[in-house]
Amino acid sequence: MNPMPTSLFTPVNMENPAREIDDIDRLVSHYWTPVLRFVFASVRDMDVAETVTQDCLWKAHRRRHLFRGDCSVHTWLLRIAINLIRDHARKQRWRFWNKAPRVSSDALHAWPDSRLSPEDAVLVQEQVAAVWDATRALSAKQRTAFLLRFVEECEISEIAQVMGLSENAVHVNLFRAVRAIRKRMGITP
Amino acid sequence: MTQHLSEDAFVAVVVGGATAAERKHVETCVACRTEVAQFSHALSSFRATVGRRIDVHVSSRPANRVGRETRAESVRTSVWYWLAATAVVTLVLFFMPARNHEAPPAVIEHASVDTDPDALMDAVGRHLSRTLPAPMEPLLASVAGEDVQGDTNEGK
Repeated sequence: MNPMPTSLFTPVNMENPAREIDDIDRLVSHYWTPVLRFVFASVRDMDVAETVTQDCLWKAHRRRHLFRGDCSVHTWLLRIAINLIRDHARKQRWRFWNKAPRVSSDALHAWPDSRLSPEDAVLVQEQVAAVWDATRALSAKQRTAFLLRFVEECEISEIAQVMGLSENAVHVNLFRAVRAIRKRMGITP
Repeated sequence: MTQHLSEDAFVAVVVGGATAAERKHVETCVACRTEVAQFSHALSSFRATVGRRIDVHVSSRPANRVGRETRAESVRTSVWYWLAATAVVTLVLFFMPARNHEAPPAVIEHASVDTDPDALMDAVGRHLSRTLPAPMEPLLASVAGEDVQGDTNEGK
């Protein structure tokens, strides 16, 4: 009997999820983009994001014997990525003389939707820039919860698994993140 | 309920976890529904922009190249690991025989007092130090010398 999928991020091979991570090429081809997307949104530097993503996938492959299959492979990878992002942030705090260049808001909303009219594109770019700037001011937990919810579109239960928090705690972090973003965007009543 | 959603209620609608009354209000109030839609649109645009940025980057850098690079890096890492381990083992083996060849420290107690003058002196000194109080230590050397001469003379 095949197990029921528990989340949107069920592994390709549901009968034996661990098999998917045995092959490094398959792991990279399936999960490079989603992991890179989350890491880039967190660290805001493409070079750093690539390095962290590479470390994440390599670490997952090396420690595949530790994967118990109690969550999806995507959840497990995001958990590793979050720890690596935290390590990177800790190292950056010590290297105060060598701050890594960050992707500015201009660089992010230089990728507009070509289907929009010029006026709508400008409006959307402003909104995207505002959200991008606002997420910078969030705490690490709030930013992680926000990105997992609104960029990766994870369910609350999945976010709780990734972050190792209760669903209540995830709700609280999301609440505070959205409130803070709206405040920085200047649209609170 | 007030005329429009409070900030907390608005956030609850966006994040999830709004009450039934709050959801009903959004359905009926045009202003609140518009504001929720605009903010949700801003968030989805943000998501789409990040996705586009990544898609363009990934298309210029194929994923399978990363897999090969990751494997190459792992081979290089393991080679350095084994080189370091070999160096440590070599150093340990190099220094271990040198320590084993060191001569053990001389143990004076095992020297024969009958044949070794130094051993005899030390034995007398130890005896005197046990019997003489500390303030009389300066006399130790002279007393030990007379006793030795006396003993040797008596033995003749």
